[in-house]
Amino acid sequence: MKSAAVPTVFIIDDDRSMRQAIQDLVESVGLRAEAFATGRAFISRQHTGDPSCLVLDVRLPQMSGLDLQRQLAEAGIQIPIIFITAHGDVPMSVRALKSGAVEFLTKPFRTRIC
Amino acid sequence: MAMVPEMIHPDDREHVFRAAEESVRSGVHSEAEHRVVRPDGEVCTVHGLGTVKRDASGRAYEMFGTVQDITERKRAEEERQLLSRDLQESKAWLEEAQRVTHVGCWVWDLETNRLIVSDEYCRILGLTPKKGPIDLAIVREIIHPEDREYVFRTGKAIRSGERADCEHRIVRPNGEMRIVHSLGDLKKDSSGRPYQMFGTTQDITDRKREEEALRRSQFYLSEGQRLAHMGCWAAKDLGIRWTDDLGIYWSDEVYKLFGLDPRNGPPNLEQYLAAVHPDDRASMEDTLRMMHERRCGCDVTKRVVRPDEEVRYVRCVGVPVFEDGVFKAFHGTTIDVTEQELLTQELRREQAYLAEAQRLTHTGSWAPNFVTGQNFHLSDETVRMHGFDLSEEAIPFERFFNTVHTEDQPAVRAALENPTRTGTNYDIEYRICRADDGEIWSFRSLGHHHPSGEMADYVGTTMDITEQKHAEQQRERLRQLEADLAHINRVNIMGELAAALAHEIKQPIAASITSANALSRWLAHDPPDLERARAAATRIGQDGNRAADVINRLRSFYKKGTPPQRESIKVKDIIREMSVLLGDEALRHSVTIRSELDEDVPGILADRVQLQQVFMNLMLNAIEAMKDTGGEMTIRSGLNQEGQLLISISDTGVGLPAASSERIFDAFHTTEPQGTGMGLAITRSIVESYGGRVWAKPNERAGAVFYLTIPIEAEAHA
Repeated sequence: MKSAAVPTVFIIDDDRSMRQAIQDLVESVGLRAEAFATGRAFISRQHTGDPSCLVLDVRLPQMSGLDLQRQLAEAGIQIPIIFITAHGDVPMSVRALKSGAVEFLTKPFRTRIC
Repeated sequence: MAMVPEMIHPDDREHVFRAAEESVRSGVHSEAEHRVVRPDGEVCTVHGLGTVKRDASGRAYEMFGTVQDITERKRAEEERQLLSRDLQESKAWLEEAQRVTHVGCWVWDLETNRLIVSDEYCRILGLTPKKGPIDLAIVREIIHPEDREYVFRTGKAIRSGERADCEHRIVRPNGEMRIVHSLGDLKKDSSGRPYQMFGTTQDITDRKREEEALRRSQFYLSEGQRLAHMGCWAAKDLGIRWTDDLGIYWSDEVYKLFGLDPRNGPPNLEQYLAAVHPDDRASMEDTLRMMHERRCGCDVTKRVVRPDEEVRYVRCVGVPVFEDGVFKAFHGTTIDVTEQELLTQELRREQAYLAEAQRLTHTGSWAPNFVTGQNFHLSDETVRMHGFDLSEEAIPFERFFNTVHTEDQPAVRAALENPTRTGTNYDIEYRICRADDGEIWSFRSLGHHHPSGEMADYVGTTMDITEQKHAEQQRERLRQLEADLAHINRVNIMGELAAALAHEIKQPIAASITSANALSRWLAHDPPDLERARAAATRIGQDGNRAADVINRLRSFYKKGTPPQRESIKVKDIIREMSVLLGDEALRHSVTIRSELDEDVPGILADRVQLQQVFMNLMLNAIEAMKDTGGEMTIRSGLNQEGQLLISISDTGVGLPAASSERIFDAFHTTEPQGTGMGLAITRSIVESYGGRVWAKPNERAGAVFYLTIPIEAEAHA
């Protein structure tokens, strides 16, 4: 992946509403955003620049957020990952943070992102 | 000379003297008839003639006369007058006799061919009586044209010496037709030559009509007897010695009934009793003996065995006939009642069957008039069911009504009032308090207005539905229990799915909050980006609705005690809803949900919550089977060969327990430590309540397939 002029936030969530809402919120603060329904869709996307951030839902069909995190690490792709989940699963968040995640947010978000 | 006046009969003296004085005075001859009494006392009649002699001055100085004894002549004269009077009287009597008997007489002078007739003869022929002979041609004309030849032939026969005797019709000049009977005889002179025919003609029209009426009446009677299979008989006495001749009269029909030949005459007592069926013989013998001894009537039905061994039922009704208190004879009728008797026996059998059927089914029949309170018919079972004694007679309707439970009486009265007024049918249920033991029974009463009866005439049945009511109450309790269990099952499901359902609710809420943040941001731009803000607001609304939908679906799951409400439902919609609700739960266990739903499957009338519960149970069951391994759940819907709705839910999980695939639907059967064992049992109960079926089979490769069918009769026409 190559660096882009404007940082791009990638969002992966299988819930269409949530995906659109996060994308809108990111764009409202002047950042670029790209949203995907699954991890596979994100991987198959030809990225032109370095991703600045990945907002990743933990529970996804076919490939979970943690699996994607592991695959990116194995591929040597360094990208800050913010996990989001509606389940608030503490062991899972610990596992994600240990694997390099920068943040673990529980839906609905209680704090302002920006 | 003094003796002469003395000899004149005292009663005639004045008359004689006056005649003499008149002759002297007028100078005219005197003439007088008078009686004289001779000295020997004999009375004779004389005719005296006298002439007065006068002198020149006209003075009468002598009377000269003659006296003639006319006693004999007078006697002859009187006898002749007497004879003539007698003749006149005889003629008048004859005329009167002819008039009364409608018999006229006639004399036919064969030489002049003229007819001398009596007045009555004229009247019979419709002619005006007149003196003198009438023309034979007139009479010939009056004879009925069809009878003329016959009458003339008879006339010729008379000439040959036969006596005329014929009946024929005449047509009076006024067109009236009469029937006459003529008798004629020939008179001959000393040389044997016929010179006159004398005869009578009698108007026998009335007699003939009466005879005809009698004949007709006899014919009708005979025909009536034949058609009614009824004969009549009469007997002077019945006798008590079996060989006695009964001396009876039997009409033809009686012979027919007994199969006997009338030419052999009526049977004697022994023969009669031999014709009676052996089983009835003794009682018939007793009846005859009693009639004989007490001179009483009878009304018995017995069997007779005809010579050809055919058995007939015969009803014999007899009455004694008395004249001036003296017994004269027995008169009676004998009727073949075989058909009626067989019908009656059949009817009795049918009634017995009906009564038994009523007793077995606790169904009574009745026919009252609700206004008059009269009961035209009451079956034994009706009486028994109400707790009355069968030996009671004519139990009035009011007593039956009084057995109705006091709490139900106003409703029953109201329910009967309208049909009674309008002549319509009714169907009511009520309780009664039995008349004998006060036990409470439940009845259902169906009444049909008697179509040919009065306004308030009804026929109907009353059924004892006490057991049915108890069963209904029991069923209702079971239904309630099932509903409670189903509710517990739903609440349990909600408990199990709490985390997954919370996710389903939290997801749109989180999206809404995020969109709200974005909305604030877009508004804070300078200038505010209203288009993006509006888009965010729209999403907030959509997500709010989505959350509300989830909550609404779940809320019905928590509801308790609501009876099933059937509505038109597309099963594919329910499956999709459940797939969404269970989506997170499936995801949690790495289960993917795949559906192959036939879009053309018609809707069914069903309760939404019940169907949701069915699919929730089966889908959760599939997820549960794959919770450790993950896998795929496939839901298919379509129609089977019978046209029923067929749905299958297959999984790739652990499969069915060996040798107990049927037991998995039993209540409290579970393989899970935390399971209640109610999910599949409730599922089966719900599906079967729609006339459907649910069963499970092993999946081809791994796991299990659960099938359910719901008859398409439940199809919604919406």
